[in-house]
Amino acid sequence: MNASDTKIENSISIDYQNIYYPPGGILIWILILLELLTFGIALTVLVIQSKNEPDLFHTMSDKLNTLFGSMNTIVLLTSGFFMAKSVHFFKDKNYVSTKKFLIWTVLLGLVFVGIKSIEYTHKINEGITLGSNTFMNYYWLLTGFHMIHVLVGLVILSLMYHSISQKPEQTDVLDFEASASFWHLCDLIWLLLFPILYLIF
Amino acid sequence: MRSTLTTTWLLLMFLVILMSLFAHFEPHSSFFWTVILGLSGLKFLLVAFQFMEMKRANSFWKVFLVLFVVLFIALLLFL
Repeated sequence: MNASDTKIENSISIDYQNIYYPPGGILIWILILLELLTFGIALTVLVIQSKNEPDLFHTMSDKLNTLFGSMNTIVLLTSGFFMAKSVHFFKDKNYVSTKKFLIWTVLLGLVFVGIKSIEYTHKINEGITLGSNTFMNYYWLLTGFHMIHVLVGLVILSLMYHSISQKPEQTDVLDFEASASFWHLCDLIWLLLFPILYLIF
Repeated sequence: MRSTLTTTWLLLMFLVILMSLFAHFEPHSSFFWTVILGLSGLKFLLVAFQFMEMKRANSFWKVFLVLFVVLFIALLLFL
């Protein structure tokens, strides 16, 4: 058994019940926890600040396009669904379906970026930019950081696609799961951002 | 596994539509906040447990995720 065979064998026999081996690996989960805490704290501070300027927060939140927000939620969750399917097929060693669903994942990620870009353009055309007011500062910073995560996720998934296309047998399940977990992190953050920024004020 | 993922996705779509309709018709109140944040928390856990397969992880991770969602929503509701 050579080194690559050992790597594949090890990947398949991961004990997820071990506290140090959550799906995707401990390192990606430390990152996910830190990200969730960071966004969670920022959103909590946003809600606290809304108590000082309730009218401003209500008015500015009303200016956000909930249709775009809802569409992006659907697009991102569907992209996450395709990602989960891709991981499932990868574990079955069905690399054709793995790549097919990975492409759909990336395409929907690009749709998310497109819709968000249209929304950003509308806001800029209305003169609502970073520095306009407290609410919009949070809007731009939080959705901007989220957008950066989506773009990084798209790069990671593209690299995984390249890896699976070149040497599918040597692509580690843990690496693929970690990439998928990063992509799902974008879902998780968005699921926290969307209701608070777009709906509740 | 495949049917579970598809069922999860369908449930998520239903929750997104339900939340959008609720946000459109319901006046803002503490009940409104509770429902909106509760539905968001539910979607969060569905993604984490089903799509990210955390249902197979050690209990530590499951408890952490549930606690994070519950405490986060509770904090926002009681602020």
